[in-house]
Amino acid sequence: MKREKSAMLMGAACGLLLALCAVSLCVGSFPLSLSQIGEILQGGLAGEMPARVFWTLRVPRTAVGLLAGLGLGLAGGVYQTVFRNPLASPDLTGVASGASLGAACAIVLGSGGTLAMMAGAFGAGLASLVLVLALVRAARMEHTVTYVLAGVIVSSAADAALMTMKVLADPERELAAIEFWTMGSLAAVTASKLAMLAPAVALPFSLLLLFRRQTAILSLGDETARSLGLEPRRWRAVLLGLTTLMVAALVSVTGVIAFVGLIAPHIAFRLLGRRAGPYLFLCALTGADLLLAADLLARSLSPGAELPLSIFTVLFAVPVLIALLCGRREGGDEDA
Amino acid sequence: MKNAKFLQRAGAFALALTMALSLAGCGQAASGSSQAASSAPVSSAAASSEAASSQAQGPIQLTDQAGRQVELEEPAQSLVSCYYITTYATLALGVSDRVVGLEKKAETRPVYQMADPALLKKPQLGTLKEFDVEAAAALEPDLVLMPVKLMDYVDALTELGIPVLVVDPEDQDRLEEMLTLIGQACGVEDRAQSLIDYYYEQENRMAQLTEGQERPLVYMGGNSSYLETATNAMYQGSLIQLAGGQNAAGELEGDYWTEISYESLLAMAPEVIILPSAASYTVEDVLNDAQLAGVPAVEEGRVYQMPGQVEEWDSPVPSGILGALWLTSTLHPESYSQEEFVVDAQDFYREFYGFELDAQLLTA
Repeated sequence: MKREKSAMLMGAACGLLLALCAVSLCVGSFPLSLSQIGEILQGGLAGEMPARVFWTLRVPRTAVGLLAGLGLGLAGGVYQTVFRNPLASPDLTGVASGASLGAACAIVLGSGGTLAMMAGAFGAGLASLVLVLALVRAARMEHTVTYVLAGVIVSSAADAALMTMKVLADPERELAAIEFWTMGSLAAVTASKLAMLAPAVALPFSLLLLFRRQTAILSLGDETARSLGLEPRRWRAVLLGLTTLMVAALVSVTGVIAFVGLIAPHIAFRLLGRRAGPYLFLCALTGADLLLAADLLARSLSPGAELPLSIFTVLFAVPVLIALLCGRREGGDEDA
Repeated sequence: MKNAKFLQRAGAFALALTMALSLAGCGQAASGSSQAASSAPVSSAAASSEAASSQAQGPIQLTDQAGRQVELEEPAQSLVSCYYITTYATLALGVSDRVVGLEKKAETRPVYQMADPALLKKPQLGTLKEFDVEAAAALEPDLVLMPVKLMDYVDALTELGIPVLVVDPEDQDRLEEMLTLIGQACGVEDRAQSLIDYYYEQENRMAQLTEGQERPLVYMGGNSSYLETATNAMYQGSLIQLAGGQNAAGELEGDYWTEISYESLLAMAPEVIILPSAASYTVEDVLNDAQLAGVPAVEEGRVYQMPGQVEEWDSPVPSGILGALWLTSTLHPESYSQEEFVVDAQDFYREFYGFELDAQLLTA
């Protein structure tokens, strides 16, 4: 019964994902008819503008949306499992705040070019993880709460530094760029960015799925983990490292996309009923569904305009969080 | 047992590696094929329209204001302009008929209706925060004129094979450089040069007209508040200098709009206060502000607003020279009267933009 239900859910999530990908490939300001797309997929119309737009804009955009959704969803699932905290998200280690700071520094202090922004965001995102781990070690208390607190400290510090950058920024040119970057968008995605992003995301993603057994064991608590032969501190560092790598790479390309990593695991848990088995896979698929749906809205709501992605991800998030709130009141004590 | 686990792990790792490499390969192939494809249509276009270009011989190579190399086979015949200053530039250089797409909210710029109403019917593609690359690609332009603020989108366009000229007209020198670049890209360098010659001619003329005269202390307010002023390093600072005035905020450091307090303004004691053309407050607001009653400019009623019914003359636009001329006539009416200014403004728009300016707009 459980197995059938899980299989059905996975199938439904996959099916929805495929449908969203297909629609995403067909939506855009450039007039591409379905028959043209069919022709292009078979290798026709080579070298002409429709084919170029399809391969350099549409496909990379959908692919990056897919990667971002899968990555953020999985990262959220891993964090909520390991930290046993329903509010845990990939931003727990301050990755999003750190990456925003890195990008803002590149915009204000550096050249503001795409490569500089991506490098700044990625580097700063990883640096925030290093800081969190250092703080935890300094606190000498290996508790999940310690990680959360350290993450809050690093996030706040990064936010304060970001505020300084905003004050220093030229309101005419740089401030708008910083603000728009912190809202997240897939508008400037190109094939070369996809080529850079794909290995940086696919590798940690696969490793995290490989390590799902360790993730589940860590969620049982440090003592239980040790008794089952797992060194909690090392494995936490590994899992955090992999997710931060993945999320920092994503954020450096798309900007900060809010809430996907927080909401996808909740939806997956509500549907599945437990945090085991195909839970992490479902988190990833749900994340991808959410993100692609948000991107479709961001592109098509206002013709010719690109609205920031985070507006729509938050729009999806609010009802889910309300459901979570009501669910707890009804006596659901799902997490330890 | 251990062997099976190890094999499973190794197999999964190999799968992950293959996935990553194939996705990367897909990305590379996509960009590779588009790059190979982009060179094909450009050369065929060059072969067919050789007769059309009269001024340019061979490929045009430019270095834009972001330091990028831009190459065009022949002068651009269709342009997309994402910025109101570059659209103004196309008007000033007489190539506005080549514009196939422009920036959003074009209907808020009065000069389009006056100089080239057809512009208002063209598709509007972006703002200074974001840009619709697919819509631009659909228009298949020869060149896209893009401000530095939209640098993120440059790669997307060049990967599609569309050349982009990035501009950054922050001050008079950069403005002139931009006009030269656009002139070269469109094969109208002569027109760009005559515009720049006009600037120098008028600058010299104003220097002569105001020579030996006392330079009044001028305070330039900001767009959102009159407690915000321009420093000497800014375009507006040099505008005041050119018009035979002295910037009341001359001692302030920095190169951006600076917030000040009422006290600082009173201490500066400017003799003239100028509001920018797009100010969100009015001359009345300044005159009625009780806290400014001690300022000489307010006492004598010498508070004026830069005319904005045509273009924003207080920013680096191609007709910005008229802002300097207007300011000269405001600061030194005995040397250069309002009537002379109106005639000069009409001459300018007639010669460079090709339309007859309604004198009423400037005298109202």
